[in-house]
Order: sequence, then C-alpha cells, then structure tokens
Amino acid sequence: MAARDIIQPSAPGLDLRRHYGLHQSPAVRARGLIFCSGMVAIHPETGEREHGTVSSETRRIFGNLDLLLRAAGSSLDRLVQVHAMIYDRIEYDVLNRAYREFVPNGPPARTVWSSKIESGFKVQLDVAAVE
Amino acid sequence: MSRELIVPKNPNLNAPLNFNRPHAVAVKADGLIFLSGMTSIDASTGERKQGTMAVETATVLENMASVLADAGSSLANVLKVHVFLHSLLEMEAFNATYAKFFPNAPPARNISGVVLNSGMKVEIDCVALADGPATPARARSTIEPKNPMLNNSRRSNRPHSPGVRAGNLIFVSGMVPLDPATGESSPGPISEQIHTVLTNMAHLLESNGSGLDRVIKLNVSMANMLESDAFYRIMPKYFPENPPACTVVGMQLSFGNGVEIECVALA
Repeated sequence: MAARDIIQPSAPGLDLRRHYGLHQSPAVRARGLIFCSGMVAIHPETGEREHGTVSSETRRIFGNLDLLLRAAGSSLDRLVQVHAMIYDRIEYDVLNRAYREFVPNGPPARTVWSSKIESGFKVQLDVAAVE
Repeated sequence: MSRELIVPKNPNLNAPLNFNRPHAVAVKADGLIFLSGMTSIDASTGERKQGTMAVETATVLENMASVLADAGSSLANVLKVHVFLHSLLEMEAFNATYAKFFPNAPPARNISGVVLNSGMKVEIDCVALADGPATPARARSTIEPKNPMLNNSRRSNRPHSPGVRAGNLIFVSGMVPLDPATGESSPGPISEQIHTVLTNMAHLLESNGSGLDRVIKLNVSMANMLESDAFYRIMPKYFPENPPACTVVGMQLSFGNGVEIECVALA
C-alpha cells in the first residue's frame, strides 16, 4: 500500500491545528506529490494572524510555504499547481506583482478566483508540489 | 522527480506569456499534468473570445485538448476538472456543451460560481494523466458508490463521474449533501449537511477499496464562511488521526447547498 506521510513544518507557527484547532495537517505527501493545506498569512514562529494588504499577505504566505515545502523535501521551485484565492478580483494584478517575486523561473500552473477566506484574510494559496 | 513546463505549440495559446501572467500553461510532474485555469482565447489570434456560455465552453475545451495534445495527453486522460462559472444559473448551458467533449467516463469535477476577469463566463482547470504505457500504475478508471442512490452524476444525468482513479490516486468530485436512502438533495442545518457529505464520501471511497483514512487533501467550499467552524467541529469525528491537508473557502454553491466537499485520496 502506498504511503501517506504527514508533513510537520519546522516552524511551530505553521501548525494551524495546534494554534487554531483547525483539524488538518499542514501538508501530506503521497507518491512524489505534496499537497499543502490552504496557507494564509500567519507568523511562522508564533502562529499569529498577520492581516495586511494583498502584497504583504502574499509575501508572508510564500515565506511560509517555503518553510513547509522544505520540510517535505521540496521547495518553491518545485510547485506544480497553485489555487490562489483573493478576497476581491479587483486586486488580481496586485496579487500578480507580489506573486511574481517568488516564482521567477518556471512558475507553476495556477488558477485564481475570488472567495471568502477565513478570518477575513485577503489571500489564501492552496498548493501542490513535487519532491 | 522531474517537473516539466508545457509550452503550447500554438503561441496564441500561451495566455500567461501573452497576457503577462506569472504562471505556466501547464506543468507535468509525477505522471500527471496540471493545467492552469483557461478562459476563452481565440486560437487564431490569441485574443480573448467572449461569447455565449456554449461558445466560451467549446473554445476553452478545444484549447485544453490542444495543450494536452502538446503535452502528449488528451481530454480522455483528464482526471479532475475545476469549473468556474460567472453564474450558476448557466450550469445547464455549460453542461450541454461540456458533455460533448467528455462522451464517455467523464472526469471528476466540481463547479462553483465566481467573478471572472474581463467579463468571461467560464474558466476551467484540470489535472490529467500524462499519457504513457498502459501499465496498472497509470490506468485511468472511473469509480462509483455501491449505493446507486448516491450516484448523483448518473441519476441527474450530469457529465461527470463520482470519482476517477489513476493508478493509486483517486480524485473525487465535489460532493453535496444527498440522502443515501432517496438520492435526493438533503438540505438541513449545516452540521447535518456536513455529516451527510462526509458519510457519503466514506461510502464512495470504501466502495473502491479506499477510505477516509487514505484522504490526502480535502477541499471544502461553504456557502456561508461564518459557518466554517461547524466543519472543523465535525471533521475530527471522521478523521480522528493524521487528518489530511485541507482548504476551506466561502463560495457561491449550486442548488442552495450549504457545503460541497471534494478530495484527493490514495486508492
């Protein structure tokens, strides 16, 4: 039977189950794929929410994903698919500008849509990567 | 593990490049192809092609077939489709065109209503199997629940499968609360809806040799995000240990449902 590994990030703040009682694992690895839980702008050490602008939240999220993916033996360069949720479609280009900084070479496949995000965050990134 | 970006042979279909967007048209990795959300683009000019739901849907799927062909795959290899419609009132118009492109064993799917860029009416992304030798590890098959009442796609004649298996991965379509005794929509308090969906999801997975303990990723859409706490209160009953990765969002859902849940699981 194929294995299903739970990934625990080295940064304690990224465990939303521990900080907010959200019954989920930060990431799960199966085959060579890593599926991450929806990431929002939280401080990687303290777990505090860091509401901000679309730009600041996007940068914080990518920083967190970098930590999480490294713990799973992957990295931001290894992203294959991103589902990017923003609170309002009108900030689409604001998202893109910050987003671009973190995927300079060979960005992953992506779909962006607007939705309500928990706790009033402006951005949530739902990603899959390969080892 | 290799990770390869797919560049369409027709430069007009390279929308990320043409519209200066920071994403790839598609990425191939681990035997799978992940396509970015595609909207209606005229393959002969590269410009947006707004039209009726039928026109935009056909254009997107023709382009998707073209990109998949460039990646060595095809629509018949699509496992999971995400559909975004500008209005869920157009679902039937969408389905009528969509069904023509997936005549047999259609992919797992979910549909939600969102605001799309530039007045487009439909956007579609997908995960497909990279074509290759027909080994058991790569085979694609559709899955069904043992209880026929829960086969919503068949009972309601929808062009999607309850789930699709590809090797040892199972992609499950968005599931809404259905009464297992009657197959009818089962509206009620949000907590009951969540119990119903997760119970039915367990049944579908167990009907196919998997189970909730094999779920890798859950995607939860809620009509009212203020009720997300209900989900997290109930989830531990179904995933007592080592819960899957999970994303919860607030979305416009079809037919007045309060919750819709999809998943990726290990077979």
